[in-house]
Parts: sequence; C-alpha cells; structure tokens
Amino acid sequence: MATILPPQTKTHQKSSATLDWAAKILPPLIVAILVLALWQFEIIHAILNIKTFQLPVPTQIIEAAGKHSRDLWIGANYTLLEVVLGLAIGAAVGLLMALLFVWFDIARRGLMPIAVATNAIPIIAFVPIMSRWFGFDQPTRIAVVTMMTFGPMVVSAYKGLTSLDANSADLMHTYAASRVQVFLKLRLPSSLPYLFAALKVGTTVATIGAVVAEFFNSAGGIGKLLANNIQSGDFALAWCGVIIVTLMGLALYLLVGLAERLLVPWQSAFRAQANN
Amino acid sequence: MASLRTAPNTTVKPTSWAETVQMGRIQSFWRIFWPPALTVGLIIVLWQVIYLLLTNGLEEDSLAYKRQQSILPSPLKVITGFTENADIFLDAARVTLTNAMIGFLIGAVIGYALALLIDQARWVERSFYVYIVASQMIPVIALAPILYGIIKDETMLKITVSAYLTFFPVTVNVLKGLRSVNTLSLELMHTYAASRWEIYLKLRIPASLPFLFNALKIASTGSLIGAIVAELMGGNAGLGVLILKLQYSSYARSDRLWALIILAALVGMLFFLVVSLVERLVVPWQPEYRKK
Repeated sequence: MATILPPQTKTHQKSSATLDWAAKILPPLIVAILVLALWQFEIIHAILNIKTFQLPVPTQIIEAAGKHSRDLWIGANYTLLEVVLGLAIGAAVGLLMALLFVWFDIARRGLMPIAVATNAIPIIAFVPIMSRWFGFDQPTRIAVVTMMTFGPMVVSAYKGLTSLDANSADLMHTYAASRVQVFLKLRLPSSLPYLFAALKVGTTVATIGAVVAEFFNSAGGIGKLLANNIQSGDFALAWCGVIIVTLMGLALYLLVGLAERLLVPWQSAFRAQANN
Repeated sequence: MASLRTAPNTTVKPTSWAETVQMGRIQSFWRIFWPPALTVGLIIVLWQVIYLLLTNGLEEDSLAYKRQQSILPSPLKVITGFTENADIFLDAARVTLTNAMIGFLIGAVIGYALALLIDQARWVERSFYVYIVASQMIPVIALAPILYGIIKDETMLKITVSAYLTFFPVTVNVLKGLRSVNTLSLELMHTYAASRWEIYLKLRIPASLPFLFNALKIASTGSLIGAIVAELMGGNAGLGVLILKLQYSSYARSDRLWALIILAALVGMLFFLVVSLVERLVVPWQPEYRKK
C-alpha cells in the first residue's frame, strides 16, 4: 500500500502515524495516571472505606521497596529459579509425551485424556504432598510448576506435530523423504508456533503457580514474603511482592515472545494477523 | 432430506436409525473411555506395588513405617481415609465449590457485560483494553491475600476472588467471539435492514457463545483455585482450610491428606465436566470448529 502512494505524502503519513500512536497510547496513559492519583490521594480509600495500612499509597510502596530491596532481590531470584526450571521441565516432559503420542496412538488414547484432565485439577492442592516428597525448598515448587505446565504443553505440542500442511507433506512424499526427514524438516518446524503459544501461556501459569505454592510453608521466595507480610500486616511490602511477581511474569512472557520472533520469524506476523 | 442428496457414499444401514445412533454412541463412548480408564487402573496398581516395595520388611507402628506412610500411603488406606471422614470432606468440598460457583457466575456475567460494552464503546476499549490484556499476565491470585486485608468477610472474599479470576478470560474471549461474525452474514443482516439490536441478538451473541464456553472452561478451574487460595489465606471452612490443617496435624496419617487432595482434583474435574455438559446443551452447533 505504501508503494502506491506518491513520495510527497510521506510526511503526512508520518504525522498521522504519530497521531495514531498518540490515540493508542494516550487513553490508557490517562487512565493509569488517574488511577494512580486516586490511589495516592486516598480517594480510593474513601470510596471503599479502607485505611492506608490496608491499601498503602504508591509512595509508601516505593519506600518499602527501597527499605527491603535486599530481601525482595533474594526472594525474586529464589522464585525465578523455580519458575524457569519448572517451566523448562514441564515443557520438555510435555514435548516428549506429545512425541510419544505421535508415534504410538495407543499412548495418546490412554494418556491424552489424563493430560487434559490435569488442566481441570487445582494443582495447588498437591503442594502438601510435594512438600513431603521434595522438602520445603525449591524442588517442591519446581515439581508443582512442572505439573501445572506440562498439560497445556502436551495438548499444544500434539496439535502442532499433527497439523501438517498437506501440500508440504505431499512434496516430502514426492521426494521420497524418510520418516526421520519428514519429522525433522516438517513436523518439528510446523509445531514450533504451537509450542511457543503454550510456552507463553505457561509463563503466566508458572509464575502464579510458583508464588501461590510458596504460600504453603516454603523456605523462601516472593510467595513466602507475601504470605508472611500479609499475616504481620505489612501490606506495603506485600504490594512490592505483587508488583515484582507481575513484572517477572511480564518479563518472561516478553522473553518467550522474543525467542519466538527469532526462532519462528515466518509465523509471528501471520499469527498476529489471525489474532486481530 | 437425505434423499435429496445424491452422495455416492451414503450407505443404507439395516438397523433403525435410532438404534444405530444409540449403538454408535455407546461404542464410541467405550472406545474413548477404556484407554484412560486402563491408565488410571495401571497407575493405582503401580502405586500399590511401590507402596509394598517401600513398606517391605517394615514393622507397623515403627518410626520408619510411619515416615514411609507420610510419603506414600497405600491406595486402600486412602479410600478408608476418605470414608472415615466423608461428611467433613464432602462438606468442605461443598463450601468451596458453592463459593467458587457463585463467584464464577458473577464473574461470567460481569465479564460478558464488559465485553458487550467494549464492543459498543470505542473509548472504553481504547482506555481499558490494554489493562485487561495486561492483567492476564498479572498473577491475580497473588492479590488474594491483599484483598483479604480489604474484604474481611470470608465468603465474600472467596466469591470476589473467584469472580475476579473468571471475568478476565470471559471478557477477552467473548470480545473475540462477538467480532468473529462472518462478513457474509453481516451483509445479509444489513440487506434485511436489521437493527443493531437484532444483529446482536441473532448474529453476534450466538457467535460469541462458543468462545464464551471456552473461557468458562478455563475459568472453572481458575475460580476453584481462587476459592481454595482464598481459604488458605485464612478461612474457617472449605477444602483449602482442611488441606492446611491436615498438612500440619498428621505426620503419619497422610492417607486423609491424600484422600482430600484427590477429592479436590475430582471436584475440579466435575466442575469442568458440568461446564462442558452445559456447553453441549447451549451450543450444540459446530463444536469441531471451536478453537481449543
């Protein structure tokens, strides 16, 4: 479309692009500033009839973050390791199971419903069992995150591995490609977008899962910090924990998105279109 | 109607139509059902074998035996652990499920209304949609303890958290559904001079239903987890409270804990199944086109 336009409209285009950008960014920005102002000047408190010790104002939260930056840093690292390892193991297990399902149909019929069922189970309830198996340190949380993330991964990976483009499959057949070649050159690449979709959802699930699992007697982490400070009534510090966890989830999500762009450049644009 | 079509692959079945459908249903049900049933059976057998290996040569009531019990109780003991405490457990499950379901329904209604509003008003979308999408990345359950500081009532808190966890997926998915309407159908409605209201009633809302149920299936688990976590943070009744209690109380008698956790898992699956069943009744058309 841009190539059809004569060159002199370029500046006009640019200014309208800026305008578009402003129209996109301004309304949410105004809402953010408004909410922060209502929060800071304790108008939210007046409406909901709560005290500042229950809902600390933003400046108090920042102050608490400065005071406890070391604890928060240690806790964040503790939790991050659980999230990343749990997600990695969950993804690996999920992918291996999906491969098994592709090669042995009976395995799919027997195990797929169970993998799907794990999505409907409140895995959080399994933390006490995991604590008895793996102790009160990180391995318990890693196991919980693995349990939470492998189910969606299996479903997505299987869908990806089996959704072959018919034309490409025919072409491979014409070239007399072996099963291994078809797998490496066709199945695996075409499953990547599905794997990344599951991984993206997984980042959020894993972060939430690790933190909530830390509510049960954990040796460390942001979840422990959250639960402890709620009980002792230090809500400013608890809010720091919530913000850190949110940023962690967001960062992981963006990181996986970046990896997707690098590894699956041919799919990103197409999917962005399909999503809209 | 079938006679109008001249499809060459139409085969004539000797049995009556109803009978065939019935038989086909039962057969396909068994075809789908037996492999996972077998898997579950194998897991229980494996569990018992591991249990026997672990307790091999240990005397009952010895410390080693008790320690082993806390790691893995036998399946039989888990069943007795359930039957002995069935009323307490089922009562807790009922409390949790009731709260989760009320929150789930409230969240679904709010979520749907919000999606309709966003679909109508451009400024609402411009101002808030970014936050709705971004909030899917926010670990909302982490807010549960903070909400507890604000909402003191236990039941209200559970319902709020469950509703909160339900409404996000509903809004995002329903909005997608409202906009998934086929252009041809939309043009047809315009040709008939249909009003905006009629387009919603006859086209957009039906189109959004499959998306709604997809979201509800996700949210069924979410709302249950929300209720359980809210209970963990300090409640008096429910599955979360019992899990916390049992976790501390009985070092040796983990059979109760296991029974309770399996019950929680079953409740989750039951909730999911109920939503799926309602979906079949409400949206019987095109289930195969639905994005999973």
